[in-house]
Amino acid sequence: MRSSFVSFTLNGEEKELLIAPGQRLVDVLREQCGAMGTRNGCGQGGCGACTVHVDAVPMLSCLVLAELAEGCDILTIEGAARDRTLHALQEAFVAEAATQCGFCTAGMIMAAKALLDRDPAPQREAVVEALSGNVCRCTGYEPIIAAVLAAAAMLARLPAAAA
Amino acid sequence: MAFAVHRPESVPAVIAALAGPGRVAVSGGTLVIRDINEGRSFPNAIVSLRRAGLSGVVRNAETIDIGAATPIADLARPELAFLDGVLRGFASPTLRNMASLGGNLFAPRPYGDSGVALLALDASLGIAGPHGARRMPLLEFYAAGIAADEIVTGLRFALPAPGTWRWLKATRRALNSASVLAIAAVVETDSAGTVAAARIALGGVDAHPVRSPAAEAALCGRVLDAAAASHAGEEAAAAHPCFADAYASAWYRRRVLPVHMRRALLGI
Repeated sequence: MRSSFVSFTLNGEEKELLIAPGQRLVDVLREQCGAMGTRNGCGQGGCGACTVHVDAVPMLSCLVLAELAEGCDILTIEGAARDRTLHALQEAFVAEAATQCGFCTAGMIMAAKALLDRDPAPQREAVVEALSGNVCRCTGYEPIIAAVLAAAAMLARLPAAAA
Repeated sequence: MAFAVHRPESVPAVIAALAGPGRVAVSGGTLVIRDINEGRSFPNAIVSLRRAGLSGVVRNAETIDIGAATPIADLARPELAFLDGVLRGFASPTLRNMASLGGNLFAPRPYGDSGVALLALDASLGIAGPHGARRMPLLEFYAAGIAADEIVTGLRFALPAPGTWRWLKATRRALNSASVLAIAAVVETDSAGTVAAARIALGGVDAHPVRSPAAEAALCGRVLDAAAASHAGEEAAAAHPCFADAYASAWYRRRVLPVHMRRALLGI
């Protein structure tokens, strides 16, 4: 079995990578693209630590084969910040102490970003549901929920272009 | 571990790619890729269904056709609003973006609850294989399965009449939890409130989702009230083996089935 070239957009940048057959997207992002923010957690789809956006839809990159990402637009935590300015969710996670060991944080933020992209002013219940596939063993979740709600409030005060 | 990844763009190309040992059809990957990650599956090749034209929902005059590779999240649409509880009870929102309705038919217990809903809807499957296409009742699929060189291409069911649909998934947590029990039913009552016809399907009681003739027989001809609903649950608890897993013991599932049957059928 031979490796093949796979092209996709990663955080706005065109990539063309030589991919060994059967490689997972999470491993390609971390080991070939240097995008180490995406974590390889359970490998079962149960923890959400590997959540990235594929064509603006949050997915679990431990269950995505890199060869099937051909032509896709992929956004990882490294693409959430812009021009070295943290995304409101990142700011809020810091401010609300919503990150402790940090292993789940990137996945949490990518899942939360998908929610805020769709629903900029979510109720608490919507935040809880949106994060129900992301496991945190440190915080007890409350600071994370508070951070997402704070980020929504922060984004509401910003001009639309900065969101 | 290395395996080839095929991305055929038509159903005949999928069938051709599946010919040979160790080939596995994959749509969302939430079952097959997980098993590979866990070291439980060692395919020679993965055949992705994602570009084979098997996604989408088509509303016909009296039925709905759903492509087998349609992600669960894509079923959130007005004509399928009655399935809202089924969708929201399905794993996490992120997983719902990946997992497909056809793939969920292959989920081992206690997963695969969308099959419970589809059994109550009396769904049929489109099957494609080297010898052509055929249709198969979902009941028969659970009893006999399909051959390794065949795939499920789609699901078809008639929309239930307004007010006849019932759904309940009993879980240990409110969100993202496998079921202790899943109950789906289409119950038709006459003007006096007497049950004229009922299709009741259960998850959590057997190796795969099943219809419950015992519950259906217990309900038909009776006025749909708490006593009748609980009685149907008792008959089901006596008729199905139930099973024990990390979520509940077999005893617990049998014990709470009448209660959840009442809640499913009456909402109380």
